[in-house]
Amino acid sequence: MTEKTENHESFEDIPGELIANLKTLFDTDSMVPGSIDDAIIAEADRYLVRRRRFKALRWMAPVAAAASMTIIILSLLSDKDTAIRNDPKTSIPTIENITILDAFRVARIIRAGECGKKEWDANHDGTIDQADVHELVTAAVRL
Amino acid sequence: MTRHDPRSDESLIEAMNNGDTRAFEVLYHRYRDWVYRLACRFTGDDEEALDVLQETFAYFLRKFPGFTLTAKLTTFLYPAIKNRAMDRIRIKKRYMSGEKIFETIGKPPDTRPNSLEGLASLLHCLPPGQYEVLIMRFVDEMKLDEIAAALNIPLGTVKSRLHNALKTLRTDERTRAYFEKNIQHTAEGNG
Repeated sequence: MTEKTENHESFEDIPGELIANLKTLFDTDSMVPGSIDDAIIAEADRYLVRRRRFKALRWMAPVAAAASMTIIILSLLSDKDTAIRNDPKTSIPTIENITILDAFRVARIIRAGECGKKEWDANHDGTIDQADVHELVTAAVRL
Repeated sequence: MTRHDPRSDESLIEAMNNGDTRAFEVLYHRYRDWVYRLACRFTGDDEEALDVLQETFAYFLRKFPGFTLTAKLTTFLYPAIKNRAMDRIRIKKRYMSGEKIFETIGKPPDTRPNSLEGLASLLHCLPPGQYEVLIMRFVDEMKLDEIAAALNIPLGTVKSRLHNALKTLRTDERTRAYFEKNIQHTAEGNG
């Protein structure tokens, strides 16, 4: 504690003339030329602009990749969906892949009085009727 | 305009992290002379000091984006300037060991006014650690905690080095007069 106080006092108690002379010893008349200023600032401009572009690209790349992936996946799903609907053998996809559009499709077929296929019997009661449409709607909503 | 920007160093660094080139210019002009003076002292050569100045700011720049200021900027810049100056001296004086370079780095120039001869010769005699802390405190006007952070040593070590350096200045015949005059002025002022 005593030492700390002594130290503190001694640091404050420095003659101004000594400090001035210390500074004089290390004074330099030379100045930084304007060309050096310009070179350093120009380099900084180039560097920071480059980093800013890189930063923007860093964000854009994953976004672009994600967008591309989304487009590819949507395109594949759309192809798959179309293929299922256009396939006369299956007409209705499996219950796991059912959508509300499939339920509408079956409902329209029943209303038109057309003959239902075996795989449309969603509730497995042996007949294709409105109850199967309800079953398909429930499955589609649940999915 | 650039030189009198009222923003703090922290704000300017934040702006630089966002790619603001103007912010760098402000910081450059704020610290250029300080960096150059220090580089001149360490290298003892104006031309070498200009190279150190450029390398120091290039090093500072490479920290962006993502730089966070945890202390004062002078605390960050001081070791950068010193290391770059030492590298330059090493290249020039390949025969000299690292320890020897540390002992000679930043010593007062050989050409000086006669009135300062005694002070300069005493500074040459001080241990490098004490000398460095003394100059950082009274020439570079750094606070004790900033010196500790810049040199990466405990605050207590800074205090003891400074205490010992001042003790030598007080007792050595080459510099004792400064303190005796100071005591006389104080006594007259009180009387």
